[in-house]
Amino acid sequence: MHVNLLPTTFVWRRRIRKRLRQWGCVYGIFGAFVFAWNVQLIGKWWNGLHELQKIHAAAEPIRQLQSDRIRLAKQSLSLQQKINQLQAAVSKDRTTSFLGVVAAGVGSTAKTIQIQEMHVAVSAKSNDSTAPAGDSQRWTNAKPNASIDSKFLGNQYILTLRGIAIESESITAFMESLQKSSLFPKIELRSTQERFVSERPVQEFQLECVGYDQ
Amino acid sequence: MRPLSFKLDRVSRLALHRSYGWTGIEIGCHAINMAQVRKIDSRWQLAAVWSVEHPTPYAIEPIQNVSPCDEVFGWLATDAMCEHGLATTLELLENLNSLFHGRDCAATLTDGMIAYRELELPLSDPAELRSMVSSEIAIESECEIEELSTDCWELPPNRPRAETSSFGAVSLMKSTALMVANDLLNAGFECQTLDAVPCAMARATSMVVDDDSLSTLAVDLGYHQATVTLVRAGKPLMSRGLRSFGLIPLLEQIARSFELNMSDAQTLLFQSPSTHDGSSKGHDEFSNPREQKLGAFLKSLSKEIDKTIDYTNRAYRSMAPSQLLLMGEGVRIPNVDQAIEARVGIPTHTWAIDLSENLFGNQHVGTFAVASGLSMLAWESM
Repeated sequence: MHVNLLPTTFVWRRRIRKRLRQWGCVYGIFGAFVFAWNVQLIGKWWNGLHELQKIHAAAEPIRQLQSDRIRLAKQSLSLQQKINQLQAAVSKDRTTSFLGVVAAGVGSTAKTIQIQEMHVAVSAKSNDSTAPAGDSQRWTNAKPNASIDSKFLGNQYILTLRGIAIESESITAFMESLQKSSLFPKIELRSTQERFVSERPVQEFQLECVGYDQ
Repeated sequence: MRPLSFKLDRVSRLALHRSYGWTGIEIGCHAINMAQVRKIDSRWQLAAVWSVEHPTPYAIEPIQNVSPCDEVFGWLATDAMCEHGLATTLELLENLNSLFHGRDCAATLTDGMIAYRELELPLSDPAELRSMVSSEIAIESECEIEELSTDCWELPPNRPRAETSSFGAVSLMKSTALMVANDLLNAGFECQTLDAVPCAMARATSMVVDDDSLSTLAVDLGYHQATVTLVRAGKPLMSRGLRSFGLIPLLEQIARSFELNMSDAQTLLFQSPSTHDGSSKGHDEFSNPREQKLGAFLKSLSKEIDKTIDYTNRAYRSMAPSQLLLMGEGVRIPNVDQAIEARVGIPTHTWAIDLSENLFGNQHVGTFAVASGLSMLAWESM
């Protein structure tokens, strides 16, 4: 047992001071924990930043490849446009060569055949089997939208010939002559009809020749 | 639910002061004794002790009209010591912080500076009781209640039929208590308790007397007075301050006989008889003034102790002391325990506990008994 002769005011002052010291100690420890936690977080963030920089450096070749791919795609598109332009230019000349082949064919039949109408349709040749052939309008429209992945394989020419022949053998000879030119892999006789010109019987026919760019 | 601060207190005490007590500081007129005890399992050990003598008054400042002081001995009057010398001495304690564990301390003022009296008061609640004690002491000492700092504890009833109860009451001027606490704080010690000498003596006695059924008469031989306290189970049952039985009257007699100053008289008193004179003890008692004065002093003291024992036998029949325990500066007188035992007739011992390995074995351990009792308060207040 003990007594305490310290005045109450002193005891209370001492107690308050002690409590303040204790709470200061508690908050000091808590603050130290928070500080340590923050330091740890900053450390993690710093490490993460370093890892990101490493990944960024490692991905540089891939980015370079992507950039090259885009650049090449642009170049490819530009080249394709030039090719199309050239092909369009070449198509007109092809019509002239068709005319020559047809004339040679007519000559081979000893002029027993007369071509009354000739029509050339040009369309883009595609491996898409669903694409309709002979649609020149579609080819024209498709040109600006052509992408680097286009299945464009050249132009398809459909030469439609309508004329008259003195006899059926002349038509056969004409077709053989066209086939020899190897310009048209496919020659189809669409129709023949007998009619009279100056009271003389002749065979009116219609041929469809399909040719492609080489 | 107890507040967090309470738990923090408990945790800090368990963690920091598990084995060491507070620093016990006993402030006397001649010196300030400091001690710190340590508890190893259930065994007490004196871990650190220090004694600081008051600086000589002329070295402090010239004090006019302060007659009761000796030039080389210290303060001979308690009032003068409190007014002029205590703060200066306590400043010296600042350098002793590293010697003791912790800042907490318990202090007491000896040499009758804390007044003790027994009061018969009606039983009531503690607050009202304290108020009654303060009023009684204020009337007796002719002071205002606000000027006094008082406390009390209940004593065992010695008159079973009475409707009142006995209380041991202690008082001190509030200004003195504040001055001591603030001076200690300035010296780096945080005063937790300003205890009374009988309570500290009771705790010191419980450190060496394990049997709670035994009553012990503890005798503190101080410079200004001897304090006799009947202790049982660590509680002070009765206390007396024997004002004319301090060492100073004895030292003054020896000083006059040999024409010495007080300090030299003290050296002579505490010197072992065999070291200064090879003649027989019986011859000394008649021829040597030191032995004459000491013999007369011990005889008178023994008479007072006998009176006290007689009183306790009458008042507390079942609590008659079975042994005497000496403590205080007086235990430095060679063979004092044997001399008193021979006169009083009951076993007499000098207070002693084990010393820490860092203390020298020739310490007068009994000098630090009250300070050790104060140090023990660390466990009592947990």
